[in-house]
Amino acid sequence: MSSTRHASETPEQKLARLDDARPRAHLRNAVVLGLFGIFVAALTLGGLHPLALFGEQRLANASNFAAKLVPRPFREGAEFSLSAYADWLAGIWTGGAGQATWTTLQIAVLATFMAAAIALLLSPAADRRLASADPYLDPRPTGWRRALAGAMRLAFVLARAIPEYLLAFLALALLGRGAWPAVLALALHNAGILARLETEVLENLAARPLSGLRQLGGTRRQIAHLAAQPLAAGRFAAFASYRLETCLRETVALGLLGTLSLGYVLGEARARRAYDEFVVVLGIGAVLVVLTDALARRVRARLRRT
Amino acid sequence: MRSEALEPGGSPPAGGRDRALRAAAPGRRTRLVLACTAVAALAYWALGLSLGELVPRPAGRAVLGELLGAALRPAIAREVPIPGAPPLLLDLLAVAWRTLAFAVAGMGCALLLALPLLLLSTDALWARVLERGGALGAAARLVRSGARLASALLRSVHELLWAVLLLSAFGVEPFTGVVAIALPFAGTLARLGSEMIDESDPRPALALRHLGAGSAAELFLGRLPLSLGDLSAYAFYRFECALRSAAVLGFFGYDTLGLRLKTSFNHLRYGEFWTYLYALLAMVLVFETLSALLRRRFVG
Repeated sequence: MSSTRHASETPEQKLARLDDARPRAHLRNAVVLGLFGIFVAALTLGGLHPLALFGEQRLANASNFAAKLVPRPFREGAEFSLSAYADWLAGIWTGGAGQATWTTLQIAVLATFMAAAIALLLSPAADRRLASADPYLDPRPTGWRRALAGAMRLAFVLARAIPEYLLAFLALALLGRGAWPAVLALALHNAGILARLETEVLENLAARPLSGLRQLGGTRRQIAHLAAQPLAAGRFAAFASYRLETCLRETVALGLLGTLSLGYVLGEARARRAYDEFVVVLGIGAVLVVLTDALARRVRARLRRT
Repeated sequence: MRSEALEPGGSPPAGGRDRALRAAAPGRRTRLVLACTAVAALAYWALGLSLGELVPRPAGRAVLGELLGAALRPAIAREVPIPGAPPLLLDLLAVAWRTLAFAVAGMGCALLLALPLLLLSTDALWARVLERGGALGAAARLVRSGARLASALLRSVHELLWAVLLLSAFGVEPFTGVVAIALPFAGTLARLGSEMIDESDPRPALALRHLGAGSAAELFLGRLPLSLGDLSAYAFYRFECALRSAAVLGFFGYDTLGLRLKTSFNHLRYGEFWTYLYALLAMVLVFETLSALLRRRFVG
């Protein structure tokens, strides 16, 4: 027992020993210090001056912008009334924002679903436990399966490392306008994320029940799809529902490239310098994201409760 | 297990693994899969998509061929000389530094903004006041809801849209890009951070309370240190996202990697395009490795 081993030490010795045993985060501290140095450098030498926002010209621009946030009918002299305001809002909704809201929702749902499907199909191939000589029984690595698992992991990392916006930009150049570039970009990027998460969950499942299936003669594929993935289904569903919210946010932004989501309406309002409409559409997008988040949270809570 | 939960960029599942598993009871699982498939099929139909559109047009096919062909031979010198411009690799270094600077500055400002929001959003900060109830309790509840609403609004608008908004308001000014990253990231950090603090073990804080500690000591000495590991791991993960966002801001005119990617692609200089893309991937992968390393050491 440690208490008897240290029974003879003085309080000072004990303090010194405890201090030595205290976990230290040298690497973290070094990285944090380095990043802080870059932070200071960026704001000073790097040309990212916070005070530049408060220059005379900038403030004049901002007040100009603020004046344009007043809905146009009232800026042009109409008497303010709630019904006139509601009419103006309804005009924005029927004038494209409503349709774009639906499109945004559809793109995000389809992309998340595709990402989840790809992740479910590919993740077993990246599971290092399944890639061993005899899954769950003999952990020694074997040739091509192990290489495949490594290649899969690399593919997941790369899919995740390329920003969705860049993927959509490239897909747009190859496929032309439409919803596909946005759907594909989001599906690919999120497939990388979800596949990696699913692989991690699969690798952390309790080995004993699965090794039993192996001893009964189950193949790798049977174990992965019929036992391991069903066991991991709850967590996977939770991860996928988190991605739906991110996809929605991202779909709105991808509209700036020309997909007919809310971002398209935003870009169009900006081009007309109709900033009053711009912030309303921005608000519609925000409400859409917040509502989806609340709904997903409800669903997750209900799934957990019973 | 905690590190998985950190990943999705949303919040970690509130319950542990067991509770999540129960959600996947057999009958329910089938229904869930069927329902999701039906909704996705509906979305596919409503968008009017067809698989035929996935085959690139002839023009697109030519671009694809040339683009992929250039992947193995990224440019190390400018494909089309530009008089007076620095050599490609020097320019690459400068642009990579600026991308990093945007990401670090954005993340730094996000942390500064997130910290007060995060503390005000926790239940832990307000526990005692809420127990006491009365007008003070009601006020506390109001402040807490306000902080939570503010962080929800901040994160529900994408950083690119914040950038477009700020560019419209202030005009072309580099610091708007920093703010555009900082605002939504602060919202995400505040929500996750407050959840992490509230989900941490309350017993050390309780022990401090019995020793006579005040609310502030309880929060800062009892709760915060317990979640600091998780918090910094998550912040590092978000930093990786900030790096990607900083690059993409270039598509809107900021002088980061995205601007180079856009112009080299549009001018058909595919070799240069790959050089910049490989640089971006290298930066993201370096930080991903670093954050994974840190996470393994300090979380769980």
